[in-house]
Amino acid sequence: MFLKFLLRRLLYVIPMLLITTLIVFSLILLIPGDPVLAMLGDSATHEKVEELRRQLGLDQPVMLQYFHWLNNAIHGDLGRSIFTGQLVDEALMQTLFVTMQLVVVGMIFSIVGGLFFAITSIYFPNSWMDYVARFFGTLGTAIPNFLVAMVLIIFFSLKLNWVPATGFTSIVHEPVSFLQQIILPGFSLSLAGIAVITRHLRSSLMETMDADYVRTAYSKGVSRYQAIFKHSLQNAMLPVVTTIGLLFGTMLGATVVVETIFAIPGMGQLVVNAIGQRDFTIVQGVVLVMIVMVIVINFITDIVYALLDPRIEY
Amino acid sequence: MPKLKKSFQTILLLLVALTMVMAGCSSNSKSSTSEGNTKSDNEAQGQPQKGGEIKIAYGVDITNFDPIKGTTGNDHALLWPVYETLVKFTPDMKPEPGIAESWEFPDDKTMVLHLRKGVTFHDGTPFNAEAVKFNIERVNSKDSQISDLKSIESVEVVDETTVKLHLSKPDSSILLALSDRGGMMVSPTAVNKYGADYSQHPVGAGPFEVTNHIPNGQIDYAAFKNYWKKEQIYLDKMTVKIIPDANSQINALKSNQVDFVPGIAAQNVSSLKNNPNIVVSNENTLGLGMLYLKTNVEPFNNKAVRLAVLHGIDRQQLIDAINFGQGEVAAQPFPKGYWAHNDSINIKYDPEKSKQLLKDAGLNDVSFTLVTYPIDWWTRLANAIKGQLEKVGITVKIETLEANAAVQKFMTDKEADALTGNWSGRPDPQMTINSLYSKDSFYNPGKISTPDAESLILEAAATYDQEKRAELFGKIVNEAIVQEGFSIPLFTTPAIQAMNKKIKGFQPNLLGKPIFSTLWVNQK
Repeated sequence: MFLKFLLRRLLYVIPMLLITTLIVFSLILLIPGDPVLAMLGDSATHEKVEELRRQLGLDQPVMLQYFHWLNNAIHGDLGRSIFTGQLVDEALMQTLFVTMQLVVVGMIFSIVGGLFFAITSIYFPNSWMDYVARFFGTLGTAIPNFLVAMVLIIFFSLKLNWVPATGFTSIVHEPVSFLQQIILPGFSLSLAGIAVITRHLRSSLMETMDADYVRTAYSKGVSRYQAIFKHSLQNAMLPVVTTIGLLFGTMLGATVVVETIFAIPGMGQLVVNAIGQRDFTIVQGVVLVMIVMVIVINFITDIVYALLDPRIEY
Repeated sequence: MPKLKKSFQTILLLLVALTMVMAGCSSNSKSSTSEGNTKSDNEAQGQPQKGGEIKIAYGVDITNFDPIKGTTGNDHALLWPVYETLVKFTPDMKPEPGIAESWEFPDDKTMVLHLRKGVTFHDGTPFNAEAVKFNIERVNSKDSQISDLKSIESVEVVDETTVKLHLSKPDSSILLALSDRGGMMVSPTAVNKYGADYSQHPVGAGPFEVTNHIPNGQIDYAAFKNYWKKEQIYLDKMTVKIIPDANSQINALKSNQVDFVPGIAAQNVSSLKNNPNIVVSNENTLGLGMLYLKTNVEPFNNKAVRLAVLHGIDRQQLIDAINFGQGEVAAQPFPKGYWAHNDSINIKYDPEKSKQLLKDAGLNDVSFTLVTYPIDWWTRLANAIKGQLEKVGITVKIETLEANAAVQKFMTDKEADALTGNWSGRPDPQMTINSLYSKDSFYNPGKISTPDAESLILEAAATYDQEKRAELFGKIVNEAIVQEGFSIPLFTTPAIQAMNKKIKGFQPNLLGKPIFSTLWVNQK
């Protein structure tokens, strides 16, 4: 039964990929600005423009261009960046690992922070901690991440000089400078996540704390601590798992802004630059990777959900 | 339970208190070091010291490490460390020997280059006449985006160190064109070996080799051990970090993650100058802020409107308002102090004359669409121009478009009448003149010209004497700008670089593109 569910989910992925890549392909061609003009700059003469357009295959109909790209992509060839001549899959591999490190740190911050605020606010209802958690649950979603990032830089990098303002070192090269450099971007990225998890978990905990089985547990004499951690939390986490899965996609998108502010050479910066240059092979490659990642994460979320809640049947 | 609650809150309070104490400590220690540093601030540049490395913040990554492929002016600073050019230029943009030791012009359609001996590329390939032939033919091939060397018809190898260039027509800009992309020598061996992948493995004869390139991340350069002039190179390593956001660049400089930031915006100069650890270099350049006009459609197909705009803009006011007083008013594409500058060319701000011009031409309700970019500096400029032209009776409609789209709209859409833009300057004035005022140039979308301008441009191209050239350039600018208003020069663009005070040896040039390979680090 479960296996069948897995197979069905996998089959959904194929039309999803086809449709999204086609949409992105058309969107890139719809935005004003011409990759050929961007490449040629002031050496653009009419003949040169036509020549380069032909070289890049841009003179063909859009659908034909798309199928050409698709055919190559299926055979594992994503082409070369039309600007730098770098192989697209090479550029993706370089930047994907960077972005993944950032997103994983952001996820860890979100989950730890969200759990902390939600649980303390339930543990001390109507205390100042509760108010802080509730306030934060609203504030975190309301403040844009670039503002948080800039305030953090001004305070922790320029005033206090604790951590660098920009830059990135991979965790495999130097774990210490990785930690120093990832704290601020990781936190800017996670703020919205902390807020969302706090709010969801808090309300879902409130529900389960009022449930009959928790009242029964109380009557057996368990402490509030045990009531939360042993009885309530596991059930309360169920809806939050979905939130965390969705958060991953949101966070992947937010890296575009955070990477620019902290000068982190990840996929976000790659795609921003590529859009500016109309480097459509790169844009298409990044979008493909991002879609695959979001689909995979949603897939995993579903499986985790099924594992956590034995009631769910497929 | 209440006990637990209390202890929990105490821990939190303690944490907060600890944070504050730590904050206090670290800011104290910082202020004491910066006091200590101010004393040595007045030291002269001193003797260059060997060794060390520097980190540079750069706004955009190189478009392509193959010199014949990229097009933007931002690439040069990243290409120069790798590629030695045949000809070099002095800070005031006069030609000086590069890896071509000397040259002569036996007649106005032949150039002979004598090459330096003992120069090798990074991969050990010797630099010789064959390599020059290979490179120039490559520059003029179909794959190349460079048009500066088109006048070279053929390249003749005379002997190992002598090359003869045969020109199809006289071209006095050829010398300095060889100090630009077209003169950057790539290793023929590497091109043949890597083929389409060459841009990932750039091999030149310059002072530095690229050891690692993370696109949009960073470029690592290491000193080339067999550089022909290696006693004049001091750094062991250079790292260029790509930081697109201007604020992030300055933050990185202030917190010592980078040592050098080229291309600082005028509005940030005063705050950087207040920092005792930072030195700001601010020099005039050949670059210009300009208004490009579409001269083949209404209203700019009418000379009276073009001249009304030319005289209706208060350039000094723009400089004060937009560039915080930095740069100078421009009536020609050549700044004061440059050999091609002509003192007699001036454009007076004269709104009355503008009104009169429009009145004489029987025009009222003149309006045009000005295309600009969604960046606050550009929109401020566009709005300031709009305000000034309103006073002479010209209505400006501003349309804001992302840079790539803006240029395309201006080139192709009849409704887009004018475009704000930067002219980035060229090593030789003839290159500037050709690009801005010749009939078939990209920067002249209206293809405007006059018989006088065309014949003067041809005459200047065939003149090799510097003084006569300067005189001819003056005449061309007078015809194209003062008489006809092909386009509207506004002000010169200052090149502002900020660096940590331990970085020495920076030599600004009029081109405004920073040369990193002369830098050294004061390790005291």
